[in-house]
Amino acid sequence: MDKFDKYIKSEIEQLESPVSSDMWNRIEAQLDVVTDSKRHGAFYYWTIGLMSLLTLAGIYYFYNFNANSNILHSNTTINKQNVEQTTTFDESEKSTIQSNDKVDNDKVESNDIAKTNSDSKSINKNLGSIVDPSLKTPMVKEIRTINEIENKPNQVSAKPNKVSANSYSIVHSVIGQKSTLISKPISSNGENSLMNPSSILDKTSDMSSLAMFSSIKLDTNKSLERLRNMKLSDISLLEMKYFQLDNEKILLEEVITNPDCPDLREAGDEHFFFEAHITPIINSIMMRAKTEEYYSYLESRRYSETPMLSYSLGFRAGFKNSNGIIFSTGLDYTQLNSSLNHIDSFAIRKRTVYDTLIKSDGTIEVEVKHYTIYGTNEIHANNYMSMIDIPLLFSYEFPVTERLNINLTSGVFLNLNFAHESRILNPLGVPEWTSSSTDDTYHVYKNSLGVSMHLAVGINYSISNNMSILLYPNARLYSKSFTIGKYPLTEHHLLYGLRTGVRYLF
Amino acid sequence: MNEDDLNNVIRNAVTGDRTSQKKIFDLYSTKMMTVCLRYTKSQADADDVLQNGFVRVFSKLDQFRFEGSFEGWVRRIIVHSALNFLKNKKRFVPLETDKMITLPKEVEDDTKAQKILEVIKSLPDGYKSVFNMYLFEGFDHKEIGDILGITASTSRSQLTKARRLLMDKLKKQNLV
Repeated sequence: MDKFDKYIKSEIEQLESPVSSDMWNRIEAQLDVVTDSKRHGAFYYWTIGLMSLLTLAGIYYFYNFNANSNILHSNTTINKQNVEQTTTFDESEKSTIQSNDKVDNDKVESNDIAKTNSDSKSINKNLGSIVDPSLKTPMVKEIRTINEIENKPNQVSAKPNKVSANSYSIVHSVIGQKSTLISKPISSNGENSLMNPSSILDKTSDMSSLAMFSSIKLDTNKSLERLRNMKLSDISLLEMKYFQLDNEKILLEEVITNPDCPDLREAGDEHFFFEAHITPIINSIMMRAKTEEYYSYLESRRYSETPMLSYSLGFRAGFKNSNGIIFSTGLDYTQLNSSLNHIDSFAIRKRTVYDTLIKSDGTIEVEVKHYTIYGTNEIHANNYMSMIDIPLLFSYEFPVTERLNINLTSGVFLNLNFAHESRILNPLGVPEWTSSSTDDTYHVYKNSLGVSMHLAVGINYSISNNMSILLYPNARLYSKSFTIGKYPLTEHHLLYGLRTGVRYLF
Repeated sequence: MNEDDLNNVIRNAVTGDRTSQKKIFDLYSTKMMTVCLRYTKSQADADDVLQNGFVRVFSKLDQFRFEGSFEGWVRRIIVHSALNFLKNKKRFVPLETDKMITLPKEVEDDTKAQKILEVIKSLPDGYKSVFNMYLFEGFDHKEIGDILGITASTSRSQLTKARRLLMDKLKKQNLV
């Protein structure tokens, strides 16, 4: 370091320069933005994580349920096996069940096996454990115990998915030593038995001390009629599992709706559907500065832009399986609206005035004056972004009443097209046009948005056999920034919507 | 403020305590403003650099290990903020309006040091950055080259030119 350097350094190094009085307030405001930004960041990553998890869970259950359905679809045959067991059917007496024994009021012999052809697995049911002697009403216990024995609750529990105005629930029960048939129509049209009650009773009246339970919910009168006319020998078509007490007595244990069964296919458990919807959207813009020096720019953009009511509309086609799992896809058009409100306090306008003077000698003199006018310029602009996306969604839908279903949906939207026309501030605080239709505008946004995550919880209400109305509050998160890599801010959008529409069942 | 008091203030500031952060700001802001002015052309730019620099200081305060001078640590962050500012500013062409609203600074009543500072500010950005980094921040030419994305020899030649230009300007104003 030479003399000159030392001289300069000694003069400048300890120099203190005044700082503007509002500097601390500006820093403090920016620190709040940083904290806020960090908080938003955490929320953003949690949301992505949650949505990913739900999507994976949806995919897992979709395949899992389908795998279970394949087992259910197989025809059920009855094998006889000897099961020696002791059971008690009421609180005071015990009955011994032995192979090939006769059945009377106190003793029950039972050999029951439901064998599933598809996996050639025989399921032994211990009748002694099916009926809990301590239970006054063993029906519920029965189902639970069977499930436990099979250790495949999803395979044996009937979960009717569709409940409509014409739905019925039939409960057949033989409790204790007396056989009874209880039929409870859910609807109030007076129907109280679906299967031929006399034939069931004929078959089951001799059964003693065994609980029997079946439940079917069907959609249409047509299906009910089919069921009504069905012979008991056709029960296997319905995937009914039953016990054969001996050659004469059949206990109807449970009915599992089988989507492959031609007689129940139209019962509504499995179907294709078509939906059309419109969704009012509130757009939450999450902007973050890539580096600290752009925090003030971040602040100016946040301050100058206001999200406005946006919307989405589209259609979807889907398939719902018997377990209430839905896969749907379609096309969605979304338009996000916002406005720019900016006051430019240092605006200038240039004006040129031409003064023309015709002199007495006939010559013309033109005087040109240039004026620069300083002032405040208020700028308002309506901005929009539009997207066309393909949704790939998994849903789980379950009934809560006859007509009302709750739907949980998760999945992704694949962006096909992204267009925008907007005016935003640049880092110097000057409003600039940015547009996807021309290249000579301020280049801020990407051409495609990639994948966004979707999450919805909704209800649908059946207004007829084939038509439902939908009401789905939902959230869609664009996990990738809308902005290009060179732009100093990232911009993510979280859309909150209320999807309303109709679903038509085929 | 002694070292223990300063360390306590820093520890409180790490937790987000605004009062402690304000104390740190009050303690170093005027010196750091000089640093900002050395690297920038206008007061407005220096304000921006100082603002962003202190935000970065408080954001990264938890990374300070209480080893070495805290002032030196703050200064390094401010210098990097200034260099980033200059780098990013090149990406955006200043508008005419921006130039028009920048008022010339009155220097008649300034001290000698302030006058020298004004002359340093008037240097071209490239010269100024190299000169400041070499003379005040103590970087060698390799470090300067790495930070600015130039070669060490370019840094060396820029420094020589900066010195020559600065000396000419100071001589014209009878400051040397």
